[in-house]
This record gives sequence, structure tokens and C-alpha cells, in this order.
Amino acid sequence: MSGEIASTEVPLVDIIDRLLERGVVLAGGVTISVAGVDLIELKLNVVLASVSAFDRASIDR
Amino acid sequence: MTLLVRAIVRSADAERHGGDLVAVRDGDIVALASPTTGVPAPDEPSLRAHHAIASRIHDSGPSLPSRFGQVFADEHALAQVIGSRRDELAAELETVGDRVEMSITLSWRTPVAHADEPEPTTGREFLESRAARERERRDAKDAVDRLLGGLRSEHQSARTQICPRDGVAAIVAVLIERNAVRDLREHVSAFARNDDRVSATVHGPLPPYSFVS
Repeated sequence: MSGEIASTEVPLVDIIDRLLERGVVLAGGVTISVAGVDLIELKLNVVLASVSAFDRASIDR
Repeated sequence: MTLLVRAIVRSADAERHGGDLVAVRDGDIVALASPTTGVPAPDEPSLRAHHAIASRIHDSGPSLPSRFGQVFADEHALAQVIGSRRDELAAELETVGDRVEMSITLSWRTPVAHADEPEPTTGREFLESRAARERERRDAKDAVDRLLGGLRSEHQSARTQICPRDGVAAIVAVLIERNAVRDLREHVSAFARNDDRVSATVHGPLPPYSFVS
């Protein structure tokens, strides 16, 4: 029975999961304002983009 | 010019990272950041670039990789935040050290595509659907237990996501010494060869994204 594939190239979906949900957070939460622009909106855009990208990848498979 | 934080390192290790990174320090703690103009674009190249830089930093010595999108208006603003969390960051650096994260994705050999299932139209269908998902989660936890059962005690601090998406039973992150990477790969390979429910894919070594707060 096979099934294990050693890989160092991380799929985009896993990178998105890690970089947006994990990692050290310096200031209270993931949202830091820059010149009045709240990055939570940015994060939501990324998540939406990642979901659609993942759906596309599933269709292509 | 704004600063996009890439990672936190000890002062002694910051000297290795010149060039394109700005080092903002408070005592023994240094934030390594990239100068940016405004808010960074949240696209694939930016995310992969962030991952590449965080990996490069961690390959050079102990670090706490930053979550993407932490932007500060200037060095002063960043230094203030580091100062307010200096002791906590130093303790995390000590805990994580030079160890690396390995990510193991367990995929069902016979996946169920929940997204393709019709919406339940009766109470019975709803309960059956919910029971099926609970069985899948229980089976996924069993698969994780089988995977981790043969690992040494240092691997028991694993971070696990159960059924994160269709077809995937679990994603398991373990924090290990660099010289244990080969042993872990061999363990996972043997596990996957012998398990009739899931296959396994290993990614890493990665910066310890899942083991910092």
C-alpha cells in the first residue's frame, strides 16, 4: 500500500492556512491598522481568494 | 514607509540578516521586517515571498515566524510593540529554539465529497448527515492517534486540525529537532504504507508557524 509522498514544496492552500491563521502575533490580534486601513478587511479578501482558488484546483483535478 | 514583519529573532542572530530586511530591536529581541509602501498585496506571490523569507530566517537560527499582514507605520511603532512583549517573545524563542515544524496531511483513501451532497430535506436526512460527519471526525481522530502513537514523547505536543476540508482527515503539525526530520519521514512513510484508511503527505521542514502565539 502506498500513500506517503515526501515533499518540501508547500501547496498554496497550506501556505494560506499557515500564514493567515498561525505565526507570532505582535499586537493583540491579527488586525493592525495602518493609516486608518484595517487589515481585517485584507484578511477576508485573502480568505475569499483562497477559497475560490481551492475550488478551481478541485475542479482541475 | 511602512514595515511588514517577517520574524522575531534574538539580537545575536539578527546580524546574519542584512540586505533587504530592517532590524528593529528592543533589548535582546529583534523584529526583522521588510520595508513596504502601504498595505501589502494579499496575493500568491506575496504569501510565497513571506514564507520564503521566514524560512530563510529560521534556517539561519532560532526565530518566531510572523503571521502575514502585520504592518507597522514605522520603526518607532514596531519597537514599542516589541518592548511591550519582550519577555514573552524571549520565552517563546527559548521554547521553540532551532526546532522545525513538519506538517503531515492525512487524506482519506476513499474520500467523501460533502460539498456534492444534496442539502437534507427531512429531519431524518439531517440527523443521518450529521451522524456521518461525526463518524468521519471520530475516524479522523483515530487515524491521528495511530500516526502519533509510534512517535517519541517530544512529538506529543502536535497541533491537529480534524477534517479541515473534503478529502482530508487531518493536518498534523509536529515540532522536532532538525536532525529528526529523516526519522519522522520514515515513520510517516511506514505508517502510510500500512494504514488502509488514510494516505499521508509530509511538508517541511517549515518555520514553526503553528507553535508560536
